[in-house]
Amino acid sequence: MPPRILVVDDDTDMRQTMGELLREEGMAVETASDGREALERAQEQVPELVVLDITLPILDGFEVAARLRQQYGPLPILAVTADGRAAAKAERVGAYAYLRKPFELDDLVALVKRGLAGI
Amino acid sequence: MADQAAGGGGARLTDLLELTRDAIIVREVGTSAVTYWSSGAERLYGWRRAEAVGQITHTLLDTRFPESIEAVDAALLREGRWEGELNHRCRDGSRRIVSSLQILQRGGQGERLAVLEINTDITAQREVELALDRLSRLHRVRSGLAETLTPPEVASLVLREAVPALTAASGTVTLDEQPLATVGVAATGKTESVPLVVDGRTIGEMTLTFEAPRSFDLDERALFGAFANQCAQALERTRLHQLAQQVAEDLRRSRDQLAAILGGIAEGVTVQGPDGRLVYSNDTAGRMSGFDSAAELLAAPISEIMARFVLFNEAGDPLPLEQLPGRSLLRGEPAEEIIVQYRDVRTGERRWSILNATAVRDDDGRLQLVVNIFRDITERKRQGDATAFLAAASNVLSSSLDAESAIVELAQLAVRGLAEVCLVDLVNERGDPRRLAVATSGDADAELSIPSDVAAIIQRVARGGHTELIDARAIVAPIRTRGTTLGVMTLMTGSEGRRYRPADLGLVEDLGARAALALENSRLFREAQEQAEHQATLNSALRDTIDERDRALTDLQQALRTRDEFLASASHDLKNPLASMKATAQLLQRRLERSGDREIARINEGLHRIDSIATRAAQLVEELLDLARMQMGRPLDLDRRSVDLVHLTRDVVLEQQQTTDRHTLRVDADVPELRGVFDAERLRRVFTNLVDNAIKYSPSGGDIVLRVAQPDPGSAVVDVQDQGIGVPPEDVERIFERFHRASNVEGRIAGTGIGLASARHIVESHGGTIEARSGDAGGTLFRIHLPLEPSGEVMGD
Repeated sequence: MPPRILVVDDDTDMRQTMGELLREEGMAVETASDGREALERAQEQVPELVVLDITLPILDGFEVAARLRQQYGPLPILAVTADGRAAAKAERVGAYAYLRKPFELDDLVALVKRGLAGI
Repeated sequence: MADQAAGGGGARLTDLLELTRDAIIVREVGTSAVTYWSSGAERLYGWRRAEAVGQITHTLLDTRFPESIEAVDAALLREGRWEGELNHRCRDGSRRIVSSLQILQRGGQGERLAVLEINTDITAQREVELALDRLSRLHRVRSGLAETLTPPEVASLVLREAVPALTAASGTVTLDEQPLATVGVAATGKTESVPLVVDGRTIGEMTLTFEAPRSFDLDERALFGAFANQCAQALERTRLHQLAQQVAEDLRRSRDQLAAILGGIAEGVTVQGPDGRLVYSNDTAGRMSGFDSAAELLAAPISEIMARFVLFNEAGDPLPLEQLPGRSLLRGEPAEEIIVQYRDVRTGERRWSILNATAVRDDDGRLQLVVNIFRDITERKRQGDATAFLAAASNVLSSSLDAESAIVELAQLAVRGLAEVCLVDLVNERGDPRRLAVATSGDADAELSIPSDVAAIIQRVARGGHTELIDARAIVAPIRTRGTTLGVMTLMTGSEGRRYRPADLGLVEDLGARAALALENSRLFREAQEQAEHQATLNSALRDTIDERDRALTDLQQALRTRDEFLASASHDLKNPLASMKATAQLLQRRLERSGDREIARINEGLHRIDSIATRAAQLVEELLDLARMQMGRPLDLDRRSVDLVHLTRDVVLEQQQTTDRHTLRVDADVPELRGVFDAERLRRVFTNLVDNAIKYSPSGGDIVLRVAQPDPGSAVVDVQDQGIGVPPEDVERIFERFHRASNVEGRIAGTGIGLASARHIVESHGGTIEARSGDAGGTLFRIHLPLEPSGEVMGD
């Protein structure tokens, strides 16, 4: 069974690119463009890992992370943001790692694999 | 100094002190030297601040203390404050009465710092009180003298009021060079005397002594004259009364000596028998009755004598002959001295006389003769009227603060006795008269009865300021104060009225001076009111300004929030598309690499270039936003995480070494690793910038060394040292300012002047410092000092 990844980003290009990249890396990817949609996708099928943009419409990344944890317990989250103070925000989300936009796709693949491996 | 005296508060407090009209003075303890002199003090005393500071206050102002300066100082030391009235001399020599509040300022250890004086000018208030007090004293004298008194009683009564009214120490009245009475304790200071005059004869003198030399103003001189006049007239009445008794006594003794006794005296004397028939008249009585001699009077029938006169009582009502004192005595009733008015039927002139009568009885008490003594008091009566008029005028002028309406009232007062017509004209700055008031005594049309040439005379007086007497029918006097003519007062008599003499000029001048003072006071009052209104306007403007400032502050805070939100969203919005572009380029690259097609190598190269451009564009966006924050004076949103400075500087050096062959770059580290919580990307920018500078400003090449050290457990120091052209000492302080470039590179080496400003912004946002100095071996040394942990910098979301 390929690992289930949920990619949440309101930027369509970025969401599609990340989704395609991870699928080509052999993962099962669901995508969502805002916080509410992210919760709906998770309800359909609980992901093993979430790539989560922090600045999101409707529900922001902090809120999404809190609700996912509340419903599904510990869940590895890779935070992604284009804002300042990325490290501090990632800490608030409870992410195991974070990426500042723009980032290298190699780094994204490496960090997702690390998250799935539980390192 | 004022700040210190008033307990601090900065420049605003001094501004506040400047707003008040009160004189505010700060003086040193002990020396009394002035250290602060408000503009209120400048206005009140006329001394400029620069002139007053350093002077001794009570010397400069010739202060008169209620007791002594020692008493004031003692109170200040004992209670910390003193309140009372002081008398000060202004620069122009005039004196002002002030209500003074003095407060001793003490420092933190209780040491005496200074004395703060707040002086309020109450001169006008005191003058009004003084004027009222004087009027009431004059009134008491007038009513007191209505009784029959002995000469010493008269003198004492007058002096008891005159001495305090004129603030004298003592007063004395002498009659025929013999002292009559003394009131008060004689002082050694100055004396002022006024003769006691009755119808041009000096009968005595009233003398006041003062503790200190003083000069009388117009009002005081008039007041002194009024007291003396009252005294003289009362003494004269007393004398006449005594004379009448004396005559009666003498008659009883010897009728033969009658003519010899009465022939030469100034009073008219007639003697009636028990039947009322005239048995004797002296020549004075004859002339006063309109005859050439006593003999003619005695020869005329009584009906003819009485037909020559129309008699009135003092109030101006017709007087029945039965009320004459002689007639009362003939009826066997007691006689009282009376004042009569009579009109000479032939000349039309109205005159005044005082009448007294004494009965001469034989040893059995039977009435033998009635002696009438009468004296013409017309001049004296006019003088008394003038005094009463001046007192009434003062009342009118001081009762209203609207001087113009008071002066209109004054004109009405003048036509009740002094004149038939009274004109008041005010003069403007160009000297043109404007008619303020026309008052007439009767129902005559005043305008018609004004001679046409009066207008020209009024113009002349308005310009020249000198009183004129015209044909004994008119007096034209200036309304004048302090050398300025404010208007002209004209008094005119009708064809049957009194005739003016030079002696009357003084009265009208006096009246003019009083009217001028009233106008001046009214103007001052108006100015004070305007000043108060102006202050109220200022206060409200101040409140408006404060409200406006509060609103502006709210707006500004809103604007700052909006700007911060803009910066945050700008960062997000600009970097997102770049990130997508970069990610897309990389994804395509990965796919091409996997396909392994050689033809696609060039497409791959293009994608790699797009990736680099996106990276550089993202960095530029970052720097641009940082620059925007710096220009707005906002702190950076640091992306802090654990960073090894040794590793970071080595990375930078490796990268930069690739750009130059002439320079040798290296890192000297005291420690293998130096970790702190920093924004790695921004510090990288700082070091890159400094190394880049070092290369740029070392055109001859050489070593560029980054020294990393940990001087204490909480901080790191990174030195960047080159062997280049260095920074001139005069520029060292300023090279971190935006757009400032050192004088030795300006125009020679390209640069924007932003790099170092941005470096300082980043370092300071980390809570650190950056400085430049000339290196020991020439070149430039930049030293960055960074705390390893954040502390106190602005955090938040």
